[in-house]
Amino acid sequence: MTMNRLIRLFLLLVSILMFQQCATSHFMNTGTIRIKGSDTMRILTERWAEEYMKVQPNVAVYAEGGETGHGIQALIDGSADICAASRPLRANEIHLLAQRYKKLGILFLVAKDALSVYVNPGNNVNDLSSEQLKGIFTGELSNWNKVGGSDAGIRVIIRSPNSGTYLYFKEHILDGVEYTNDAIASPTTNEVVQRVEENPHAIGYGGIAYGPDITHCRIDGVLPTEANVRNDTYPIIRYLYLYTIDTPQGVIKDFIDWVLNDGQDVVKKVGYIPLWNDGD
Amino acid sequence: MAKAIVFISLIFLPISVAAQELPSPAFLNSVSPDSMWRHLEILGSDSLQGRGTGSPGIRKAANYISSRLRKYGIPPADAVGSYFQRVPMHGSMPLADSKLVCMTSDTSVSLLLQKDYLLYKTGAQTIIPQPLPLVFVGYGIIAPEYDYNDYQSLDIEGKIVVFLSGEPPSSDPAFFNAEEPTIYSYPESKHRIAISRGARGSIMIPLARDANSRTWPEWIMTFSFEDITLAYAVSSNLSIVINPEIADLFFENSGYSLSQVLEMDVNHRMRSFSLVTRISFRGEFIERDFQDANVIGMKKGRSDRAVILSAHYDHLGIGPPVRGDSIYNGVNDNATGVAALLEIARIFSEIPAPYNSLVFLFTSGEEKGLLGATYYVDHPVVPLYRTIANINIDGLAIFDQFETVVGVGADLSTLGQELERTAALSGLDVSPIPSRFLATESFARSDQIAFAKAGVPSILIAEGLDYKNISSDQGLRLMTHWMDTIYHTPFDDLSQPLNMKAATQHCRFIFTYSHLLAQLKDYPEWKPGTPFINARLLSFAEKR
Repeated sequence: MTMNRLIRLFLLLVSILMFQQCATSHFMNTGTIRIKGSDTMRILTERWAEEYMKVQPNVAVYAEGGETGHGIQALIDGSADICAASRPLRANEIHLLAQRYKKLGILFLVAKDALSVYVNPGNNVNDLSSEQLKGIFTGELSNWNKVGGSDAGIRVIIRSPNSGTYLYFKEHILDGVEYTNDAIASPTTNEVVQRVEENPHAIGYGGIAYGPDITHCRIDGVLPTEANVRNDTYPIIRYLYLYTIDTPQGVIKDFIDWVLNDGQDVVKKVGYIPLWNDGD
Repeated sequence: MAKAIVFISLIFLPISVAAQELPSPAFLNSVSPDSMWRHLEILGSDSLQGRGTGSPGIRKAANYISSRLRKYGIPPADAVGSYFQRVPMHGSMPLADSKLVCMTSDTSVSLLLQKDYLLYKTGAQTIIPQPLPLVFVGYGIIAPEYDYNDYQSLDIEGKIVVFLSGEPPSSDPAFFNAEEPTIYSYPESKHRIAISRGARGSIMIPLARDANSRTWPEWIMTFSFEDITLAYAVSSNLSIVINPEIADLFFENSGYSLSQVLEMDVNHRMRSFSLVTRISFRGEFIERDFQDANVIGMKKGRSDRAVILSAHYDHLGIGPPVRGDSIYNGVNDNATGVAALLEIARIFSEIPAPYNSLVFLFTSGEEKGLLGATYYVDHPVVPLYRTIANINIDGLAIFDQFETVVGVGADLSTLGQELERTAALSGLDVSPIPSRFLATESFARSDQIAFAKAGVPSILIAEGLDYKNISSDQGLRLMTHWMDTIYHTPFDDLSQPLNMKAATQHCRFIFTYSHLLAQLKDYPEWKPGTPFINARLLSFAEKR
């Protein structure tokens, strides 16, 4: 190989590398994204931040918890670009946004959260209505024979009062009414599952992915499967949201687009339900 | 010809890698019990008066360290220009005149500093002139990863929160790490959660069953030293530790007593609720402002990246006398670590420039809350995104020569793999952290956590419980005895038995490990799921 050919080869290599560099940097974002809001979603937003920074190493994503209300306040006062919310905005919050920015806020549905009701596999009751559930967990219905089962007292297992799941079930199923005093509280879903496995008369609740030695009840005739959560037939669900003040631009837009695509894998990994499966 | 080059490379590659990994025995052997002792007898002597942060003794220690670095030909870092990185600090000592008044529905009680309460934080921001209501918030923890929130559906804005020490009891590793305390158990974490939620202050009730439990006299002893913070510390509000014997005052007429609250906890029914009792506080303090120094030397490498080796050189200074001795010399906390780091710097000064630079960082204020290390990560001499790792040294093996090593933090990052390689090169094994010394707790106890929080993978290397001349049981007994009777007392001095051969072996091992990291071309990485990844990615994104 002559020296000339060597130099030409070298220049060709350099130009290929430079082209690749330009091509890559064209798709590389830079900037900072600040997310504040729901404690329920903190684990999700932190993982989104981590995974997004791996694919966009020049973007700094700060994810903080607090609560949904604080996140919305941060959006209004300009200290956050995105509010993570486990509930829709309230009227007064929309009012504040409108006053300050003349905007009503843009809502992005980003994940679903669902709760399943567990009974022991030996229990012949495996389909309950929302009303029956309310009766059981408030103590109005205390025998399985009231809901089509055998004559046996119902052992109610709930989560500890400082758990978000405790509050979510209370608000969505019990309409805010207190749980029965006879309920046994468990600090973790694992312990709820264990108690239901061990006691043929027990009933508890938790994520839809737990099992397999428990029966996931149908609620109003619908099984808590991912598909039923996604097609909105299963009743104990809520959406999780990201809010921005206006239609996002630039790096914020790119981040939210990513959340709705690759970021859905993270949703599944942290235990929530992605909005869609690959190929949906 | 090309084939021949490949063949020759294959022959020489393993040798050259081994040569890079194994420093010449002559360099290692230049560290000896005598060379270590020469540093110790100065740093651990009474003339340095326990090297208390902000004291004349620590300045003498800083001068000694810088004089050694100069002698070895290790220059200061360009970014500082001298060996001393000035660290602005603020000291505050509460006085007995401070007034904490507790108003129940039918009486008003003045509580006494030390006898009834201690101030976890001091200073101007702690004043509560008008009585404020109290709210009980369980353990005062918000941990979404465990679906746990003591502040759920609670308005604490402008109020003072009362919480229990520790965290919910658990035997499930997926819930608050079972028996091992998580970062949520630290009073500092709880206080931060409280004030970030709008609380005006916090009161902690220390429980005997908490993993970090102390008796009330031990709490008094811990708080008898001056409170020192960085001059630019995070805002804080009133933060009190209350004597558990009088904690029921807070629960009067609330519907629950403290024992009923603890009963709730046993049944996993802990809940937060408002209290009737209110408190006011007007503190009296002696305050001062000063600058201490991190002492920094640097051996430049061939790349723009660096490894930081750190050892804190402060200790507690002069404190309450115990059996007539009031000088807390801190010989193995951390004069030994400083001696080792000086010896390691000396060897590096004698060998060719490695691939990565080495920053030799001697921190101040570690005993006051990792102040020097915290200041350093805010003012690094090599940007953190180019700092590949931190090796922290805090105490050395002093009982016997050892056959295994422990990497505190090794399981969190790929630094553990490098530890395995070093152990293999040194003829040692790596063992897990003995269960008596909880892993998370150990990792959070010294300067390495400041680097981790800033995203830099960090590690502290200790000896395992497998010794050359004594059994593991004997070793564990010696270690436990040291922790219970010598640690943080005036008896951690030069008169205690110190096996200098063991300390020397430890120093040589850390040098070998540093030498390996100094040649490393890849960035060590945090393992998936560790809480420090985000900080690392942020420092990469922002090039800081």
